[in-house]
Amino acid sequence: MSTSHDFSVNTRQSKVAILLLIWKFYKLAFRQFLALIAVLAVGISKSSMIALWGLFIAISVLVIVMALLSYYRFYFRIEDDELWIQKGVFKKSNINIPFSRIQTVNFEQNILLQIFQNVKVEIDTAGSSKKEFSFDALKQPVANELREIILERKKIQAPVAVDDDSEKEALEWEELEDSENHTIFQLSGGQLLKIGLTENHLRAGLWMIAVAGYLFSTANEVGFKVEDRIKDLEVFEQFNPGLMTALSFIPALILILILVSIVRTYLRYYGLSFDRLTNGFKIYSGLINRKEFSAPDNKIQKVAWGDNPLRRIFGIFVLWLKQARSADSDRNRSMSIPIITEDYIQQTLRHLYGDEMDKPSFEHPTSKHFFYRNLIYFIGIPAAIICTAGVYFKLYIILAIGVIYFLYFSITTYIQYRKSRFSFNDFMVLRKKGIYGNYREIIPWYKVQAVDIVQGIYQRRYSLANLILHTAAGEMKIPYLDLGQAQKLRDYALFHAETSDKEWM
Amino acid sequence: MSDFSNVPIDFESIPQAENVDFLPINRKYLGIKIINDIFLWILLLLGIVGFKMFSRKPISFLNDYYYYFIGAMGFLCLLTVLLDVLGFQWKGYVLREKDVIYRTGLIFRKIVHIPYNRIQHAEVNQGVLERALSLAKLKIFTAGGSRSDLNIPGLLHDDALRMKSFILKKTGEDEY
Repeated sequence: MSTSHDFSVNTRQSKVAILLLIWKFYKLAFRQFLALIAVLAVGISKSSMIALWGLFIAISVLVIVMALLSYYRFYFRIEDDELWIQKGVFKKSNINIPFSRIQTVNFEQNILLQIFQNVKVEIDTAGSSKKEFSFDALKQPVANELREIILERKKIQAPVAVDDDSEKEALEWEELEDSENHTIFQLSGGQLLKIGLTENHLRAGLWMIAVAGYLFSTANEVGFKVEDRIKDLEVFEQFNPGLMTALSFIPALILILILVSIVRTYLRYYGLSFDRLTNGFKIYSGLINRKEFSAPDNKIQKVAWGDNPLRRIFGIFVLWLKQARSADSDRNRSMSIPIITEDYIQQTLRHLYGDEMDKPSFEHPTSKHFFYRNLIYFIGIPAAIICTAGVYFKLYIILAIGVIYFLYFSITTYIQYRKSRFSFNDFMVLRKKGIYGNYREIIPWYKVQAVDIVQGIYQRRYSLANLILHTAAGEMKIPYLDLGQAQKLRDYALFHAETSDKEWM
Repeated sequence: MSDFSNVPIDFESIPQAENVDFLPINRKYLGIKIINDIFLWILLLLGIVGFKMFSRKPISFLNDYYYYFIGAMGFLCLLTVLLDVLGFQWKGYVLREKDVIYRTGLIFRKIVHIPYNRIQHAEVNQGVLERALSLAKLKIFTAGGSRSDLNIPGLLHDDALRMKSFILKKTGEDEY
């Protein structure tokens, strides 16, 4: 690999970072002065206009100075397999991140970065220490090189990688980067449309409510009495909707939700390309904000995929490659990948786990007590209470709610019980579950980092237990196992975790 | 794949974690827990009493049922203490050759197992009361979030330190 950039000396980010920093600080300042701006803007008069402009200019000067300072006082370099960062406007701080701590290096490009061919680089560590970091803007080739150096050095100094084989492997990563990369699939516009149509529209609704709620509360905070204004509007006085009119709004609402889902899908997954590298996967997608996620094989702790009733019509699944989460960040380390045919999931699994997929395994159903216990305690008893209350107070609507509650949850719990299954072989555990959709997840035994056996009162009576397998990227719960079986599986998981010499994180 | 093997899984040959003897938590820790419980309820009680005394606009609901409130709080306080006493019997830990096991919980009985080679780091913590009784808490951290982190309370401070260095040594052994 030819080194075009010398990482051993202190380097600044790309100049584009200044623009981004200005934008960042503007947003910050805007949030701080929002109330003041609003007050000035509401009572518009000549003097307040002048004050507003004055404020704007003052903020702008401040923002630009801050952006320049934080740009010019930021350096990074590589020394001894560690990434060194020096930053801070008022207080200088030094950060060093050892390569071995770095979990993933991901790229993101908004429009500005796309124009200048720069990328935002996010460096993610998985420890519980607060060492999360991102570069605002680096030139694309520099960023690529940085990622390669981090991932490769890491490969060479990794715990087990001292022997010859692994070193060869490290070299292979580099060689095959170019030769054996291939795209598993790309999404076309039509496929995106299908995915958008089959999104969980309720989620789009919740999202809209959240956004509206945020705007509403901000406006209220600032001093606009939104409710009063709405009441003031004369339209609403004459507008006294009957039931039919109200009902006729429902299709319109559904249409809006579907449109929102489609727009969100295009923004997020436009031009999605899912690539296989030698030792990992790469996902590249986004319309305005392009994101590049990389998922090295050994970092993937858990693979999950699922559908929903709408998606089943088109044979669409969503696949998650779950990587170790860092303790301090809520950022989702597991990019979800919408996939059009199940075939691609099989391909992905085969890339990851190879022949292990062919090993026979027996599918275990869940104990019927799972259904009985929930039927009694979470469905029967509450429903009985609701119905009794309904009869007692002669409120038949409450009685109806009680009956519906009972029927609905009995049916969904029964489906859940029927769909809940698990199987395992000497390499991995596969769990199936779902109510409306079907959800699958796979954890290789050696990725397990903790095992819990949990028993509630009901379970103790029938000597049953829940087994929880923890990985660095979330857990898998196998409910209502025979206690003896749970113990055997626990021993088996521990045995694998304790004897495996595979790189697990 | 040349080293392909597909032998049936033989559970009998795998070490079993069933018949291990758990070490109990130090009894003094139960005292600390009870003191903490009572302290918490007293704080809540003071909150309610203070609220009744100083609030300008008395809440009729609170006034009408004032003594019921206090009675209920007393009852809940006793209940928490009782649950802690009962739950204490079950708490226990054991360090095995390759993993640490801790069991806890009264209604939901839980046994946590963490292999040493999956531990990221460990630390020993002491609260004020714990320091007075020279007790300590051993905290064990795993990777990626706190869902599988482990807290073993009620250890003698020296034991906790020894356990920590033992665990860290074991963790280190796997990482050369």
